[in-house]
Amino acid sequence: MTDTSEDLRRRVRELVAEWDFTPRCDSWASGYDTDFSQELGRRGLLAVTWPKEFGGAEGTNVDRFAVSEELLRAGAPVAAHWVGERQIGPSLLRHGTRELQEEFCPELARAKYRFALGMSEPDAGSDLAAARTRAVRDREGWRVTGRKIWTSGAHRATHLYLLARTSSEEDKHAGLTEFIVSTDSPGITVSPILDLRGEHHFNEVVLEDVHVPGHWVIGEVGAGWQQVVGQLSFERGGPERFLSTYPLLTAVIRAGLADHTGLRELRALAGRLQILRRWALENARAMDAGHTPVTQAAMSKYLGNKFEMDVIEWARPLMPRADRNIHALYDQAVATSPASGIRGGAAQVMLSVIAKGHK
Amino acid sequence: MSTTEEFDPALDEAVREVVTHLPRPRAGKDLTRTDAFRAQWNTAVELGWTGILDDADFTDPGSPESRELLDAACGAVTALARAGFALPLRQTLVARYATAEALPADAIAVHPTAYGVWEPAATALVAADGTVSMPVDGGTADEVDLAGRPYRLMYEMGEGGDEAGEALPRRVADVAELLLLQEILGAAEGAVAEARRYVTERVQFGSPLIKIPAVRTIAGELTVSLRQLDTAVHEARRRFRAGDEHSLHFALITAREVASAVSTEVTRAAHQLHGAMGITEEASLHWRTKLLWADRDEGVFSRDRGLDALPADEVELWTLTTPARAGT
Repeated sequence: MTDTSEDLRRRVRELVAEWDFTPRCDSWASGYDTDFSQELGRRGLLAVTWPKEFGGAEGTNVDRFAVSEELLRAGAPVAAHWVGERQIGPSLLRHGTRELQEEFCPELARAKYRFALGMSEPDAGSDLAAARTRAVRDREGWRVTGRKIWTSGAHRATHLYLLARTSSEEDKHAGLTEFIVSTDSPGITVSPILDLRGEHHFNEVVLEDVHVPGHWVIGEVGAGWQQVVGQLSFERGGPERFLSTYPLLTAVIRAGLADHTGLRELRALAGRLQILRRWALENARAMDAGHTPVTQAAMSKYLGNKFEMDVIEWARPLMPRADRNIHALYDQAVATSPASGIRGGAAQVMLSVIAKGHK
Repeated sequence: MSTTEEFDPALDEAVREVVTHLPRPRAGKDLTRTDAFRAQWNTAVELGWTGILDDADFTDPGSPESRELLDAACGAVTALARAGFALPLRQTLVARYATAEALPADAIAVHPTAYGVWEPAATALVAADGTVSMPVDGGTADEVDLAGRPYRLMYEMGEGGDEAGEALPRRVADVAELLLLQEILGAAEGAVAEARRYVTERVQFGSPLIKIPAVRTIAGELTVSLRQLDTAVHEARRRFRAGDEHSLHFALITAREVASAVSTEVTRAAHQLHGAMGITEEASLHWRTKLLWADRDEGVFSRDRGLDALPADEVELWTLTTPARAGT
């Protein structure tokens, strides 16, 4: 870690200590507090890698990793800014026009704009290249028609990131384009998909002939697949892939609930946590070096999810002696566990990516 | 990203080159009773591998000299294991480091950190205090472990277990544990490489096995397992160089835990992928997997090993799992 990273960690810890919130598992996906996200922006703790002219601090991905780790460690409510800051801003900075960067990045850096990801579609699952949502040019820009599913936070987002087909090619990876769509555009219907606890995080988004301004295309028309693959490193390789259940793990440790067997199992969990933190750091370093660590990020995602599941199994027999706060964390972890194995790509897909990457 | 990036590439290459010409013994034998063993050991001695740590002084483990020597020792041990050769190199390196006395160049030296492995074949015994004695035939029944290495049963050695380990100089015990981890890593790398080669070359149902989704899934899992082990071992080496005992102790304990789990996963999966050919003497996979099994179980006397190194609170957990800084 650099001194800058250490300073960022200290500043995050200060804010977390000041803010009134209840730590929760899966806080990056379901801990929504717009005020908290905007306070992070005010204190210069969002968009730390971005150019100063776009609201950033021109830091490194390692710096951003430090901020993310500390936030997740605390179980802080970060869902409002997570997707926009994690991957939309970086994607705009890498592929977007200057006009798009000026329009969106400063607002994302202050958490004024909040994004949801319109990638997955019905019948397509993890196969993003099978997208059937279509975008057709017209005189004023584009008209988009299609359906997106599992769109977390779309009901609260100001904008959607959208992957849509702009031409039909034999290769399904060709002819895809990335768009920004305003969620208050006519023709958009956001319908809740309640999760198994009855909570509203996911949505189905139907787009019927939705107008998209011509300049709200990210990067090259038809090059969406190549661009989105770069995003996956941000999406899969970060600490949120293994720290979702960290608040549960540490609450059990703090309460001294681990019995002898629990301590033995903790030895293995601690070893894997150490590995996962190293991998996430290496992913950040690789991105700082200009690489797109797709395979490495898939490994982080795969092992990270296994770790999160094992934390739940570790805590399970210790629950009879736990207080209601720990029970709440346990219930959150269990209830979100099916989703955590799927979002960002299912385990079998990750293994296939890994196997291909190590021929 | 491989650990070998930190080794002297010339040494690594030399080991690879040499071992391709070494004869293999018959499977299932006490290795020391084969002609191949003597040829292998003589080669290791002639090339200077056994004396790498003779002048090592790890009082400043972060110094360039210390780093170079440790990297060389780790490189030689890992490369040998990767090729599936079980030699008393690791144990001799530790024993020679642990004593100030000069030993013959070709000595097979054993220290208490070896937990009795190779002791029946030893020509020099280095005690915990560094004094050297020549072995006396005590008439005890020698055993041969899965890797074909002769060993002395711990209960016949009078004392054993972690209690004996506690009396050892900390630095010697750390070096011994690190080299054991490197050997496990090398054997795991070799096993995975063999399995991957097999499923890529072997054609069944009209195409290479790797084209079968289930096989690809196992290949992916093997890659993740190996990478975990590589990272854990690498982290322990970084912390050795950084010199913080508590942090190193935690890294060694958890790396050993990871190594045990990965050894089991790799041996199971590699043999599963290799099919029936892998369990014949003719295949080269078993040299790696037998070494993995033997190393995995070496010196593990209690399920509670290392529990004292576990963090007591969140801050300590966070601190101990924080990656060592770059440059260490």
